[in-house]
Amino acid sequence: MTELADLSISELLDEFRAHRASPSEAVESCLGRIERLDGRVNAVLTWLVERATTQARRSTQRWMTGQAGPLEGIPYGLKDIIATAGIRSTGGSALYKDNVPLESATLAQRLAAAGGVLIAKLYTFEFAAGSNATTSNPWDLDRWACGSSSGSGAAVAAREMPLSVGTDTGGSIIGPAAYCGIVGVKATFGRVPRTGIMPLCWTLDHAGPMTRSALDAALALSVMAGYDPKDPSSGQRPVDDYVGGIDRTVQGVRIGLPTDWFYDICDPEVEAACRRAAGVLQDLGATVVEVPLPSTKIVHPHAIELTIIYAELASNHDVNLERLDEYGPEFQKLFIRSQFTSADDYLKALRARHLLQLDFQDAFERVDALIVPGMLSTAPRHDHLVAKIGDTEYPLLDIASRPTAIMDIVGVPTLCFPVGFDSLGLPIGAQVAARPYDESLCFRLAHAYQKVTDFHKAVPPLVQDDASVVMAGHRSTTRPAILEKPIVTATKDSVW
Amino acid sequence: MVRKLATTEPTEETLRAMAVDRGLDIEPERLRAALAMHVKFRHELDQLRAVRLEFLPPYIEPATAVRWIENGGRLP
Repeated sequence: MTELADLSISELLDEFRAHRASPSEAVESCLGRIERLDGRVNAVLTWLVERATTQARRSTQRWMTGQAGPLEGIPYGLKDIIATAGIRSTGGSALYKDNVPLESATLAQRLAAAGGVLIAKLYTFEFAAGSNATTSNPWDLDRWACGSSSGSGAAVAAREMPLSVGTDTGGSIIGPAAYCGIVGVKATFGRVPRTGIMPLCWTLDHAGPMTRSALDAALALSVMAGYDPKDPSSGQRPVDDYVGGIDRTVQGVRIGLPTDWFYDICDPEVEAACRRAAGVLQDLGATVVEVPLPSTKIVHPHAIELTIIYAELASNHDVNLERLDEYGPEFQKLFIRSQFTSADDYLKALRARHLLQLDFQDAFERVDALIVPGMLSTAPRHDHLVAKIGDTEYPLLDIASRPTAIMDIVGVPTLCFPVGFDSLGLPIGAQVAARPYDESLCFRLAHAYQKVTDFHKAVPPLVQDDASVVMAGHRSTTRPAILEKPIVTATKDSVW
Repeated sequence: MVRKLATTEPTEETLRAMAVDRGLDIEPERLRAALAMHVKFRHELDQLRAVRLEFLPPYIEPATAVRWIENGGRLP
């Protein structure tokens, strides 16, 4: 027996279209999964039971009357830095614990207009940068789900919902996707509007979908992407047909494996899995060659990332400087450090971005896409936040964003997809990156890979156990209309 | 003036002076935490500071990166 909560977006839409299942049943299934599992996973910060049930009923009606939108009846969750009208939007911070926006973020409006049913707001690191002590990785509850979109990654991996939205400034979509064994998309800078999303850093902030398949991510990005006049960084290009072209052959596509930066420090099991993924695509007709990225030896991407984040974080939060004590301890450290960023360092970082872009430009003369690790290691334990590379342990934050922040800095689209498991049974993710605005190629390559592999279909043991509970007929009848969980920002082991 | 890579780390007093100049009263414990983060980051920051960006064309300004993205991965 398959629970509706276990189905992907495309599978659910097929069920709804054929009237074999309804959005009301799908939402009920996801709410049940949250009810049974989220006490251990802690992905959900605000649970919108009554609202979701009402909207699902309307979606069910729209399927009956032929008025269904492209995501009609699909349950989803939003990272809680994304504004939702009439629903608290906390930023994962005590400072905004009572913030109830009057207007939803543009991407939330678009998802709602497409028929999506918002069922939960999800845990985030404080303002996408501080910490989140609560969310666990569904593959091993003693382990980290990464961040800052930790709730968004864990919720999808735990089959609590088929779609969530995260944000990525240094790797906060790609990291949780890699650690939790799901798909995450950081589209081209400016492709997804950020209006209504609490900013961490306007130069590097991106938003994007997190799903369990590349096809699902294409369906979601098709709705979310596109010009927004309210976002000064919004790109004006028309949105490609991500879904229509996803089945095109990968024959002749040129894939590059960088010889610099990405694999310099990388767990051997992760590197092997990424190279095998490139090999699978080669077997499907793509060509694979090595490409250099020489500027990474001169300009340390981590220095660019942190300098820009420090400077813009200081500016964004200056309005709350007098409320420093209300921030969580990790964000406080960042905020105080950010006070000492000089203007010349910040401007150097902004200008040096382009040197890395020129490396990518040269690489994309020779290849169409790059395959690189999602994260350099698999998920660390909550009580020992390190990146284990072979037998060496690195402080997590020293290298965690190494394969991801460079994508935010350069601005190219990248998609993380599961490509295997390590010897502990933890998911490994690879990224496929392409030229700016060529998200279609990322979807095409990942989808081709997923048609001949099944890593994206693997189910965490926690969820497998839940399936037997459902089969035994467990069902709750008493749910609150809304459940607001507490914000927790202290960590046992400092991230920063 | 000659630019060299820094050979000494900033001290708590350096940061305190910068804070005072900005009218910020930061507790010693917090200042020490900020200093620790800065020191940890210093090597990478020095690398960034050592990057030479040309005055003459092809000149790079912050908006160059955005234009490169908008133009599909190259400059017009």
